[in-house]
Amino acid sequence: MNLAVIGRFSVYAAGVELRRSMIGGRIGILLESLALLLVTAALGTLFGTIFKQNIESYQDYIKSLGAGLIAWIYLSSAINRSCTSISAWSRILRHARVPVAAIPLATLLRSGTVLFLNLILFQIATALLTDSDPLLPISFLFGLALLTANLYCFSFVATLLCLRFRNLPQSISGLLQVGFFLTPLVWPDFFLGRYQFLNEINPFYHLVELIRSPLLGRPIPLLGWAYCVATLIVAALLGLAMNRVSTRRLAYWL
Amino acid sequence: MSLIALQNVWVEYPLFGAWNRSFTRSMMPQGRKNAGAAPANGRMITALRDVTLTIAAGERLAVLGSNGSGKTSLVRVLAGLVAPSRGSIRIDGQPSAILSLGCEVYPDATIFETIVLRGLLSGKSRRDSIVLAEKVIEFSELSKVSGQPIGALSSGLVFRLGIGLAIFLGSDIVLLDEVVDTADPNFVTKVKKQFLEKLMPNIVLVIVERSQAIMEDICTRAIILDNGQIVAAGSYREIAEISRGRYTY
Repeated sequence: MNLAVIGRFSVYAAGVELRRSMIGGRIGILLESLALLLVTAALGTLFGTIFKQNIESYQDYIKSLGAGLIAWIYLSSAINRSCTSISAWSRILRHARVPVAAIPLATLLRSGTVLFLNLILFQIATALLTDSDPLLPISFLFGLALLTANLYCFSFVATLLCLRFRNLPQSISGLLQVGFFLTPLVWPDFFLGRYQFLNEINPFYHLVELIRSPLLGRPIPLLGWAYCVATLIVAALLGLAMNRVSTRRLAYWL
Repeated sequence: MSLIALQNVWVEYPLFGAWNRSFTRSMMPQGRKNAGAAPANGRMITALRDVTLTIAAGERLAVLGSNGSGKTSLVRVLAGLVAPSRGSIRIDGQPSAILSLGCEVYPDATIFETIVLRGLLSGKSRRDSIVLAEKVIEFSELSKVSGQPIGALSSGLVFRLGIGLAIFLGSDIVLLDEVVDTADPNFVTKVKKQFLEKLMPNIVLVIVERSQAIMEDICTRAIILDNGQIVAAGSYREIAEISRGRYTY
C-alpha cells in the first residue's frame, strides 16, 4: 500500500475521531485545551507558591510550565493513544487489510489538532499576560517536525509491540508517568544542580525542549538537536525491523 | 482475468495465551522459550495442510466442512489477511472479503465513514470515496442506518454493506464467509440478479455457508475440508452428495 493511500486514510480517520469527540460534549477537543489551561493555572499557583524562593519570576515560571505541558500532552497522548486503541484494532485487523502504519499516523494527526488549539491558547495567554512576541521563531517549526517524526516512529514501534504483547499498554503508560515526574515540567530544570546530567540523558527532556524552548523564546540546545536526530534514527531503524518481523506474523498475533 | 492459485499451502498458528502474551514474562529465560512464533513446547495448531487449489474467473467454489475444518482460515488466506506458513499463493485480481467477523476499518466509525475509508484504502480520492459511499448506501438500502456506528450492524446488514462495496469497488474476487444466510432473501435475490448473473463470468467467487440451498443455486465447484486438508473436490452436486450426512455445519 503506498504512502498516499496511508496518508489519505489517516487524515480522514483522524477527522472521524475528532467528529466523535464533538458528539458528546459539543466543544469536543476544545475541552482538552481548556482543561490544560486550568491545570496550568492550578499547578502554576501551587508550585509557584512552593518554589517562590527559587524562581526568578512567577510569570516566567507559569509560561514555562504551560509550554512544557503542551509539549508533554502532545508527546504522551500520541504514544498512549496508539497503545490503548490496540484492543479495538486487533479485532479490525482480523478481517480488514488496514496498514498498521496508519494507526499511529491517525492518532498523531488527532493529537496534532489538540496541539494546534493548545498553541493558539498559549499564544493568546502569553500575549495578554506578558510582553512576548506573538510570532514563533522558525526553529519552532523545525523542532515540531523533528518531535513529530520521533513520535511517529516511537508510536509505530509501540503499536506493533502492543499488538504482540498485550500487557505493554499499561507498562508504557506507567513509563510515561515516570517520565512526567523525571522531566523538568513542573519543576525548573536548574533544580537538579550538579545532577544536571540526568536531564541530558533523559530523552523526554530533549523531546519536550524541541518545542518548549522556541515557545519560551530560547534557542533549542545543540545537544538536544543531536540527541533527537539520534533517537529518530534509532526509532526509525527499530520501526523498519519490527515492520519486517511483523509482516508475516501479525495475523497470528491478533 | 482473475485467478487464485494455492500451491502446497500450510497455515500454522501459534497458540497465544497468558504465558506468551506478557512482555515481562517473555523477557524471562523460561518465557522466551514460549514467546516466539514457533513455541518450543509445541503449542501450535495447523489450520491448513498442504492445500493446492486453483480457481479461475467464472468459477464459483463452495467450501464445505465441519466446524474447525479450516474454512475460515482458507478464506482469510485468499483475502490476503493471513500469509501462509509454507507454500505459495498467487492472487490475480482485487479480493473483497465479506466475513462474519464484520467490516469495520476504523474504531467507532459510522457506516458512511467506513465506506469512505474503504474507498480511500482501495486507492480512490476522498471525493470519489464519498461518491462510492452514496452509491453503496443506495444499493444496499442502508440510508436509514448510515449514521450508525459500524460495530452495531447486524450480520445481515454486514452482508448488504460488503456486497455493495464489492460491486462498486469493482472487486473481481469475492469471498463470502457465513454472511449470506443472515441476509434478507429479497436482498439476496436482488444481488443475484443485479450482480452475480452479470458479473459471474469474470469473477472468482468463494462461498462458505451453512445453508446448502444458497450454494446449490450459485456454485459450480466444491471442496470438502477436513482437519485443514482438502479431502474431496469436484462439481458441486457430486461433492454436496458426499458431504451430506458426513459433516455437520
